[in-house]
Amino acid sequence: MSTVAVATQAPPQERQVLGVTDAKLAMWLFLGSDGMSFMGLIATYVAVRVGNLESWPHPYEILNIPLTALNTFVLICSSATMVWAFTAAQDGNVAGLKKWLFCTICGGILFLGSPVFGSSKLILHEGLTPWSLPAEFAGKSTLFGATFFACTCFHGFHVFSGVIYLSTLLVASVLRGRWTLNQIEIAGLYWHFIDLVWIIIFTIIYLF
Amino acid sequence: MIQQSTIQQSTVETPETKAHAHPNYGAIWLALLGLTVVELVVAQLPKWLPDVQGITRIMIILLVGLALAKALLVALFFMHLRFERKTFVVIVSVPVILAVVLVLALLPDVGFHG
Repeated sequence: MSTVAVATQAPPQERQVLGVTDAKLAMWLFLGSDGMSFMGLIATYVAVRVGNLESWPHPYEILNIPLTALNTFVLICSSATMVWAFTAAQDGNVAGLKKWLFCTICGGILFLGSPVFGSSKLILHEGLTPWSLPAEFAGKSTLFGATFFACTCFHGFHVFSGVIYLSTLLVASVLRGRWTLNQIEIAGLYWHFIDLVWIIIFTIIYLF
Repeated sequence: MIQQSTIQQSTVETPETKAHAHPNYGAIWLALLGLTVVELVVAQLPKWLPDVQGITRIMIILLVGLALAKALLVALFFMHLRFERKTFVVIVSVPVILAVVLVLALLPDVGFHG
């Protein structure tokens, strides 16, 4: 196919195999492996909880579910603003791209900020740590704290990295006018991935 | 090569540069929010209906289904998988299958401490 010939002569960042650019394929492969990392933690949570069903405290008794539901809402909105940023980029609307990208970054910071305050209350005032439970749950499995913090902190670190990634994209590329559609799309893929993982973590850890 | 300050269009055709209507992202967003609200309601079922036989099992099945629906919406539409080549979707599906296998494979090792 002539498009293949064109593709292999394109500049490195636009080279294509399987009909997607190298960079996009690389991002998807990374997301696949990162997803497996998350599933390792989540599968551990499921296995440990199933083995300790009687002594597992109910999440709704310890964790602030309304606040976390609000956080989920914020992250889903930031995913939507990310896809609108991409749409703006596709349509050539640079002002829209900047606006929506900025909104996505703000959503990410908001998502990170509230658990920091919520978790600090849990840790400092109520005694939920990776190795202990609040006093009223004495005798229950302390693995609750360990698995809870493992999953949420791992995810939080991903969101933090994503905020840095998007901010760098905004400041170093978009604001200087030196960006490609591919870059925006790939950043969007990473952001949607962390939203997807949060949907799974929220359901399994908070709602079960 | 000096990059120009206008948008850089890829010189090769990729699925996202081919003209196709944007899916209605706003509708997908509202669907995601709606599903989240439904999840929150379903999570309360064991508290509201404690007498129903097997209510926890029903809740788990419903929640897993809802979470899967939300994940699919994000993956297919926001991550554009709906419009990618099928081979690519197959590649991406492999970790999903492996993830489920991982959870199921750990279950026989569960030690019941009670």
